[in-house]
Amino acid sequence: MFDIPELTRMHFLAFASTLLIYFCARFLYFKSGKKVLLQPMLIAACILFFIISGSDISLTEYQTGTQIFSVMIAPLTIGLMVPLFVHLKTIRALLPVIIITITISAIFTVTVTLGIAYLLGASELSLLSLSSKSVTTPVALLIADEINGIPSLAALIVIVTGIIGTLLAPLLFKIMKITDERAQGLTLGLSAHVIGSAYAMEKSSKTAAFSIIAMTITAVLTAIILPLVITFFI
Amino acid sequence: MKISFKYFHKAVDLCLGLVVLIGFQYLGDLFKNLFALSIPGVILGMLLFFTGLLIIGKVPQFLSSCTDTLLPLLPLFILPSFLGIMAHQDLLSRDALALLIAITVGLILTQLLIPWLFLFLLKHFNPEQKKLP
Repeated sequence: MFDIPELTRMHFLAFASTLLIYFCARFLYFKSGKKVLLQPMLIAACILFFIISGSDISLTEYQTGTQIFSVMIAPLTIGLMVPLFVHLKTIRALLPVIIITITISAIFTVTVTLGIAYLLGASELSLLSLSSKSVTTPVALLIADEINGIPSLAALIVIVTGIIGTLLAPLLFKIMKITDERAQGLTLGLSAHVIGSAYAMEKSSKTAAFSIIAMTITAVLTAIILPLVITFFI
Repeated sequence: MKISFKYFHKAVDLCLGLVVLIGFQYLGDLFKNLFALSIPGVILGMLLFFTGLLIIGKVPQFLSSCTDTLLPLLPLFILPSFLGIMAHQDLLSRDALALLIAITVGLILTQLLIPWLFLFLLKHFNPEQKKLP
């Protein structure tokens, strides 16, 4: 499957420090009462960024040492279907309405965002990485890989989208006077994926269910449609 | 000496669950290569896995135990790939502002559209109301 590299002390240090720093960041996140801005992954990435640029370990060396983590992404992405399946059972009657809403909104959000970024003069590579912005991180990595974008930039865009989306959503709900839990869940899941779903879970289980459904269906739909559209245009 | 079997069962669930998920990952790759599709193999694996769940009709206990344990850790597994961003700092500093504005404006418009669209569709094609006499 992949070459097992000769394990050096550097590789082991990379592995151990990632594990340690991530769990410290996670602890901080839960201790702070799940503040949206303190996403464990973002905090851990910042700390590791300074460690890697400060020490004499190279990025490729770091990524070889932590390959064991990256290997887990693909199987767990498939595992995302388990929560979707569990929650779908509770809302079978509304499924057509939900799928239509998600399809239209997902196409709308990608078109509008890409349009604005294009007008503001973003480069083609950034645009390609931006196109998977409303998709949960592991699927965004896959899509970016498929359409020759930059996976890590796509991941950063996804996380930033998630944070801004989760901060904006409650304000917009208040202004628009939307109290329907199902509509709130769909909005959070579609626009802010995992980070929005984590927020939805604190509100109610119904909001969380709709949020998870919206997130997973958006991911699958985008992953199927986007590569086709991109290969058609380029 | 008394040995607790609770964690042993958990470990077995984890391994079995991962074997099934990795199996579907390879099945997806196989399909992709067989039919030369442009969809990522993992997505095909997801669809196949979901079809499998639909056929069985329920999630096996070991699988839900496995995903309940591992899915919350997904950010940790993504972290190393995410740090690849360090190699693209030039691009990032060039486009950061444009991307940020595009994301924010796009989000506001989308979040205004979704609840309105959903409630509009619900009002006109609500399957629950049609069932009532």
